[in-house]
Amino acid sequence: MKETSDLTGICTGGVLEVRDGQYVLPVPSGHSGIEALALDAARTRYPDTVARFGTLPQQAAGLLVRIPDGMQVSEPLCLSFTGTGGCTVAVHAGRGATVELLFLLADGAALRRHIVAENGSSLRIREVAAGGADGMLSVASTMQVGEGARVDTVTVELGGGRAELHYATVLEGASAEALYAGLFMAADGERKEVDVRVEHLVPDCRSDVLMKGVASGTGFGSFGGMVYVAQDAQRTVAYQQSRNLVLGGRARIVTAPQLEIYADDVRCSHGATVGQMDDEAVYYMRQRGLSEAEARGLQLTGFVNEVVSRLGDGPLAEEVLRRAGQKIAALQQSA
Amino acid sequence: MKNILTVKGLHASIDGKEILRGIDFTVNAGEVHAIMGPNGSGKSTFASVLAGSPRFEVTAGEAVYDGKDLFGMNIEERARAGIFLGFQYPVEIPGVSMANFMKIAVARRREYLGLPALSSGEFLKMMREKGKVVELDSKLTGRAVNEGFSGGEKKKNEIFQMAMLEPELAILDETDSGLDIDALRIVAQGVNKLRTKENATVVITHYQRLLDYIVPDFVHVLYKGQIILSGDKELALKLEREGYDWLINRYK
Repeated sequence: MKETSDLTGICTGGVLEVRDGQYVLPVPSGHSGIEALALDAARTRYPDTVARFGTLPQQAAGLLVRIPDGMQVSEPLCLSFTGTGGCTVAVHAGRGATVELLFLLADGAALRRHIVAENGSSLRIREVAAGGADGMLSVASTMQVGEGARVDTVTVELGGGRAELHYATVLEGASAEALYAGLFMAADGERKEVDVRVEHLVPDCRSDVLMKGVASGTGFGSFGGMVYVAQDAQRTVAYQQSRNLVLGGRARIVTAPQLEIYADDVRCSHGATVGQMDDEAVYYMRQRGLSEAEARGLQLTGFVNEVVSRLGDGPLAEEVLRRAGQKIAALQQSA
Repeated sequence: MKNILTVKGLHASIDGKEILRGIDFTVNAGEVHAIMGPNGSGKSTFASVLAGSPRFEVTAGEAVYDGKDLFGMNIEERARAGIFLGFQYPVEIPGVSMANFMKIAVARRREYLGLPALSSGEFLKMMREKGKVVELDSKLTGRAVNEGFSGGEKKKNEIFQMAMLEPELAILDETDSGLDIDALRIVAQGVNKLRTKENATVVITHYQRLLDYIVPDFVHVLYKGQIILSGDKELALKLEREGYDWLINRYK
């Protein structure tokens, strides 16, 4: 818990806090124009907006974050989730809006997230799960992406217990784009399960999924990937990759990337690897004077940094990399 | 002349199969040695054994490097003490930047030499200067180690690392393989620039071509795990003209 509140320190634009499922309004200053309100109130005030969410249960309590049409927000909006208990958050990015949302998740949090990215909008979603020693973290995220819209999601999972992360994206407007990069690390006794589903319903959309996992000790990880390409979704470009490192003989990672394609003019690929550390690389680095532990640590850092670096430059990436370093040290110890 | 490396009666094997069968080899400061020989004669194995590769087992013999028992040192101790192996197939390390990799490597080498640590500024300046030795694009040093490098760039990158670490004994394992003539010249000139009276270079090669640029003081022919003939640079020229058969037939 403490760790997560540390992370909120890097949110220069202020934080929208959700604790034990209860949120504290209003939206922090510096984001004038972005509106956050209870879903109940939103059903009356913005019925058309709420109706756009195909996956949102009718009576669900929670929060609507509304980014008006054409709004360009330079500072990321932080949403912090601590304590226990679930929370539903619906995010609506209006036509042509550009915004970055940073979700900070502590162990024990249960986030149900619904996102609608309207035509021509551009959404960056950064998600960092860190902190707490026990409790289960769960994220169930759905996304509808409109014509020419782009959603770029990066998830870094550094929690200390159990995590279940589910992402389902529907590309429903032509030329929509969804990028997803994720990382989980399962140290001794931890369990991380991730699944990522992308549906291409219309032509000319693009998706790219990269999921990386590390497990050591008795850690367990799993990845389930699905790219679904409907019959009409011609000229789809879809990539799906699952890359995993297992340290030691007891850790386990299971990966199942799948494609289901009904269109005939598509470019799709998927790949999965579960491997040990590259001994040749360790030898190479030792030949340059690094100790074995340094070589292995650097290789692990490199492996996770391919995802962490997608958080962008700046304090967030630096802080996450620092914490990833601590997690890597723990993974190496329990290997 | 200061002795750098003395190897006596070296035998080494992989998976129980003997590859090196009694090698005697001496290198002094300021010297350039070329090791030639047909495929499978044990050239790369010899280089790997000197570097401490865990794939090979030393079954007999001894090696003294700079007055120390070489086989009593682990891989990184040898590296820090100034043994550099230029890899025939440099390894790609995704996500690890050249700068981060070299920062640790240089720090460990300097610790060994008792030199003060470099500041970030000094280190970056050193990266830039040493990159010029092999005309390495400064963009490459910002990228992940060898990832997406062309064959020529990988070999230039080996010599760049050699320039950064200033080894006493550089062993270059087929650094010329896979290089076009321009890259070969740049790499060879880089090696020549790094030569001093205090260090030594062992060049392992198939072809005499590299030795037009890096002129050896001694040429050794390795065959079936033994050095069957040593000579000067004229030997390399003769091998280029006549091949190995005359020598191998005589050896039989």
